[in-house]
Amino acid sequence: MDFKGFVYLLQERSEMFCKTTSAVLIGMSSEMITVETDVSGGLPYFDMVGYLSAEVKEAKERVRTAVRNAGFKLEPRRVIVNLSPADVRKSGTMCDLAIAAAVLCAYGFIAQDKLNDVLLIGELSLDGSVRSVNGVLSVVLMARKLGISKCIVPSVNAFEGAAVDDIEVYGIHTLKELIGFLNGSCYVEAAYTDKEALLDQSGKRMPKIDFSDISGQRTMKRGLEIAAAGMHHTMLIGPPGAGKSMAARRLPTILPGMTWDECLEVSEIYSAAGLLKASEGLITSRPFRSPHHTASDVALAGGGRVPKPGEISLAHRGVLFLDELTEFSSAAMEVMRQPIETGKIMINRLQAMCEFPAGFMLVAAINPCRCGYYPDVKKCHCTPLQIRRYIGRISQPLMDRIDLNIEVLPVRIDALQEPSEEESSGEILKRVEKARRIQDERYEGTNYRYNSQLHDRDVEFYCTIGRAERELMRRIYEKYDLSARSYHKILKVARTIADLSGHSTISTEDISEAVFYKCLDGRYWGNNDGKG
Amino acid sequence: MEKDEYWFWLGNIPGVGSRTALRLVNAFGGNVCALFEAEEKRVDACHIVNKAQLQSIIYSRNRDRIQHDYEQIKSKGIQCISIENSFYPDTLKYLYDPPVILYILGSLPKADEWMIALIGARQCSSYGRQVSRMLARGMAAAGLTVVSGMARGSDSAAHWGALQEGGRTFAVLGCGVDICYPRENMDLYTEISRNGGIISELPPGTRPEGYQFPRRNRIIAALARGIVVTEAKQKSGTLITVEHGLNLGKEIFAVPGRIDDALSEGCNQLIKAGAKLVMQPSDILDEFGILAREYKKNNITLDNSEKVVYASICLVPRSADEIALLTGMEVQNVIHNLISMELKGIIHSVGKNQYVLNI
Repeated sequence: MDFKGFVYLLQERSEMFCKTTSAVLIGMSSEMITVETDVSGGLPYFDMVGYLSAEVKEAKERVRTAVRNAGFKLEPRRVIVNLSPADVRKSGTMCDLAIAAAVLCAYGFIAQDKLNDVLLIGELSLDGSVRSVNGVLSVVLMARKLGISKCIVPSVNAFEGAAVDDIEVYGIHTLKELIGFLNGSCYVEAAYTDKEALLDQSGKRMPKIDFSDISGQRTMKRGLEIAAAGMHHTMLIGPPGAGKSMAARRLPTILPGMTWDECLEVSEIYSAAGLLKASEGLITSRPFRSPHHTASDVALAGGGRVPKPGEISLAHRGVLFLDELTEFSSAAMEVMRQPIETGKIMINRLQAMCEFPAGFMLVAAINPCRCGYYPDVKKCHCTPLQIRRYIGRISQPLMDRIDLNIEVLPVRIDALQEPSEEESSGEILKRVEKARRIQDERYEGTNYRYNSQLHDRDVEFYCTIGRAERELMRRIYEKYDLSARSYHKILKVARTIADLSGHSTISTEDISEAVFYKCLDGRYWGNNDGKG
Repeated sequence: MEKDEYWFWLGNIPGVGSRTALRLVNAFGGNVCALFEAEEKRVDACHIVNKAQLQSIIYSRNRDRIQHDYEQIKSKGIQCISIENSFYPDTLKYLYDPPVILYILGSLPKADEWMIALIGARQCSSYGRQVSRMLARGMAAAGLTVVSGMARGSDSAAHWGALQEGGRTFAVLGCGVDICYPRENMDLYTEISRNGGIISELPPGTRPEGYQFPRRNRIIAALARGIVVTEAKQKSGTLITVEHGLNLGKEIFAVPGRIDDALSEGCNQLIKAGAKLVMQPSDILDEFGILAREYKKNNITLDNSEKVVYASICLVPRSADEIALLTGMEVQNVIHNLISMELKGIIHSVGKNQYVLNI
């Protein structure tokens, strides 16, 4: 566009004002931002207002340079950019593209009507190329909710946006391409995702590990099967080298695949955390997170100036595996208490208050004592006090929230040297999937999805037991000195066991098995007297 | 002041042990009142105590304070039995340094009461615990009294066993009788003080200190007619009790264990050295010519699959996995049977997933 044409345009248009739409990410939810630009006469000046954080203020330089390098010449004028609403703190580099587009529009390189009903996000590089940003999925979902019909995102992130139905998403590479696309001189294909293929693929990407790798340890495998079927929080307790971590790492192989909605839900979290890789696409297999025990409470719960999801949110709909739980700081352990119950976590910071989903299944692995060999007193040299102290590092309230407790014992030499025919993950998965289907049917139309989520007041309704079972529960309650909470927990686990075998009613066998895996009581662990 | 109060004074003089105290009383013709009244010069003339001890004796002669302290102890329901008291167990007098005064919470040992000491390691295996209990039940069923130290592990199991059969049992502590040590034995402590007694030579309020425990062992050894060791390592406090017992000419019994088992090494050594090997209560009772009486056995019927599982459970802890392997049953079935038998009270779990027989 030559200078004459430009002057002509300026004269033609009474005002040089333009509006574009962008978004900022706050935690996991995104907020729509309107970028307003006004170009007027006066001393050359370029300023941006609207409660901006440092990285958004820096956009000024990025945008001006990128626009020039993309081949557009901006006459020296007085340019004011306003990002509204003005009371929302703008952070991140998502608005670069919308600012550039607004400036170019105000200078007349694009017509305003081309920008109506279009949401633009992306970071600009000085050479005019568009770089990836975090949280695209969340932004596109928000855009759909607000009825925006077109989203323009960095080409690298296009696959995320494409996952959302009923909205056109275009991935662009450079600023020049954007202007061409908007003016109709350049064709860009709307991004598209083949959901079926994506979901199918998920199974194939699983690492080559299998439950049949573990010889013997049948109670442990059975326990994990129950845990997977009802998403019960589980604790594995046993000496070092018994195969606790090995088994926990194989847990994803027996978890049922995710539905498309779950995929979106989980991918949205990963997108906000900046963990969605273009090379890997959306998250289609259940997350398995295993943070090291040096992780802080903030690393687990999420946080930061502008809160980012932590490990418990990244494990949403999947497994949070905490190896050596006793070594975690007590703050890190306690932070999980509330999310375990509610399935979400609220992070409050000065600049934002964010809620992250945290519907994870906790799998913890611990040693029974400091030396690791209790209750084998021939090997264990800990005193009862030391044992109780060691277990006592996990507070009783947290312990109470764990449904299944599996004691893992050292592998016997016979099991190692003469491996018997072990069940493969595939066979276990079939049973787990069947149990999940039963739960889906049972909880249709309610807030529940798994047996483990049942609220105590609903346990009586969903876990009905007959006369014989009631009598058995009464004896168990007295014999093991249970609390009301553990009573309900046993019923919930028994419900899952019954689902696994496809029974509609809970039998005494199911209850016995649930009792076997019942919560470990810190009061009696390590108590050596002969009262029993 | 009463006689016991004079002895109470003598037993609580700082720096004066029971041996010195008794020598002093002997020097005064066995009259403790005379010792209390005696002039400083006369006490010194016996050449039994040094300067510091003499000072301590003179300083502690404060009637008001002694009487006040004595009343305080009495008010807690604790009995003070001096060596001159007729209730003082005669067997203690054969000790080299018999306690000058005994504090007792609960009832006093009767003169005709037959006591058997059942002792063993604190850090015992479930085997040791089970055997202690079984033997204690046998003793109690035959009308004998079990005496032990109320420590963790074997001792506690022995006390519980005796209580289970409704027998009497005495615990000799290494701290004041008003202090429950170890603290987790609070329920046992209360039970023993109701069905027997808690004994100590240390004044009420004395905190448990390591050095006090070997000394209390001599009282256990002296009270009992025979000493039964269920589990002991090569070097242990249990063997100190045995040592005292041998000096007093008591019968020593020991429960055998596997030769490679560190916890049974002490027992096996004792058997090698001539202690009587014990496999059941009658082995002890025979030695004293007492007829063993069958104690209450659980009358429980088992179904067929329970019988199969029961057959594979012994005194060594076994896990559900192992039992499944041994019986060839599905692990779910094994678990079901284990839980139902645990509810019936014929087996119990050690830790979480390991089961042993109740005997």
